[in-house]
Amino acid sequence: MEVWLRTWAILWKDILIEVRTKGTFNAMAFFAALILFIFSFAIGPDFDLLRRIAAGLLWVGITFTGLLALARTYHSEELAGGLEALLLYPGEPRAIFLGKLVGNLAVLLLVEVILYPVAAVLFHMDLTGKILPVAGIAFLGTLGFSVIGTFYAALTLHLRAREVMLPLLVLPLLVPVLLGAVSATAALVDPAAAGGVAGWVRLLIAFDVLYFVVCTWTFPVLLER
Amino acid sequence: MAYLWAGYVLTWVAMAWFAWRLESRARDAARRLKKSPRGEAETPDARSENESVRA
Amino acid sequence: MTELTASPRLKGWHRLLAFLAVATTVVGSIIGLFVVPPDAMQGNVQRLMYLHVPAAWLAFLAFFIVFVMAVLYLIQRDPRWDMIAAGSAEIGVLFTALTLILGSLWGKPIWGVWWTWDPRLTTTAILLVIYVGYLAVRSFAADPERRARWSAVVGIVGFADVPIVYLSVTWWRSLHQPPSSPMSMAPSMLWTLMLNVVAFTLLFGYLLVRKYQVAVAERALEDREAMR
Repeated sequence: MEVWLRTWAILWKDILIEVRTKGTFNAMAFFAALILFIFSFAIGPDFDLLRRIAAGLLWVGITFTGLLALARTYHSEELAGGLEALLLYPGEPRAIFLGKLVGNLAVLLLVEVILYPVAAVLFHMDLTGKILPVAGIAFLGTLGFSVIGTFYAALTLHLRAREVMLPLLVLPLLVPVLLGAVSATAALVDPAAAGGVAGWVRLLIAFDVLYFVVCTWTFPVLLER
Repeated sequence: MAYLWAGYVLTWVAMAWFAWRLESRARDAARRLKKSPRGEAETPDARSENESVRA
Repeated sequence: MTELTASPRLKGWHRLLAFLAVATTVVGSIIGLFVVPPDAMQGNVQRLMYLHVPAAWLAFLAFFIVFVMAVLYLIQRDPRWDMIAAGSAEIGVLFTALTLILGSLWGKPIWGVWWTWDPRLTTTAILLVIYVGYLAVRSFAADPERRARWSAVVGIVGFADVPIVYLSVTWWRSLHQPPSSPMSMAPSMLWTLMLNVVAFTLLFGYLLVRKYQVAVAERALEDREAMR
């Protein structure tokens, strides 16, 4: 119970900072939409080709935007030793991880709410009647992404060259998430795509559960002094 | 055949290069250890102090 | 704090291991190159298998050792476990890179391409990137205690990813092509392969012992220099 209160406190603090400082969310959402727009130019106006690779392009966009968001995860704590101060409070340090995780997850899901319609328009994706399953897959993929990302953002916090290190460490680990999310979304959206959805959903759930447990469990090790 | 020989030669060279680099590092470390005699750094007190300074 | 000077028990080991490793590697290479008959279907290029398979086996062994040492380090906080993990990771990256290059050299004449998105190939490539990341974390963290702690976490989380990556890549590819089945082998080929596996394992043992000794010596030097 106490852990959830702390998690909520961390999350609420970040929401307040984001709202009061008129934070970076708008810029990030705009950046995400811009990536999809650029893809259309890079690939050309081929109708069928765009539709076939739409899920992949969409998730590359989400990945790039996500990396931007992850790099800022502990931004508000970095100034004036905020993280050290947070750690001085007695109690469970895992609450910091959970709070930041929910924060990243929420930001990315909000970006996706904008990104999916943009992709549907630009890449001729037909979402009618499939919104719920597509959203479910997006949630599972984003959860895995956020768990790994929030964890590694803490690890690279005091590393030299961390702007490079975060994607370098995170991207290889995320291969199963990207494969699962892209394949399942493509199977739902593109009638020509082969393959089932159920196996990928199980894989995403397994990934999310495994890494949620591993990362929550080992998070205090990262913050030891 | 060219592919076959390229593979074998590359493997030998890679192993030899890795081992040679390791051995030269080992020699270097051993030489420097000998040059600087065991002194106060080996005592537990100095060592823990040293650790705390670095942390 | 554990005593970090090189323990005398280990002193002579690496010479014996080095000798055995070189001897078995030379014999294994000669048998693989000249003695064993060439494969009926693939011809002489198939002889690359006698290096490719042992290298792949050692890559996985090395990363498994990294994982075990990382867990041990996080439990006991003994810097020696960290040194073994670091050495094993570096040797593992070497063997993984060799595995990929040898596989490419084999694939070019047999398949006609340097690279295919075969599940095992793809997984090995991802493995390489994960452990290059591990080594990068080590080189970018200055403080030894933090370096050990962070890289242990990377070693554990990265190793947990390997089976999931393999599963996902297999599913991904199975939509397009059936996975290649392992061919049955003639006994002489199997023995040659086994000999080379032994040779590579001895080599791995020698490199790991030596890496550990160097790490211990350099750590002692570091501590001494910090005192000045």
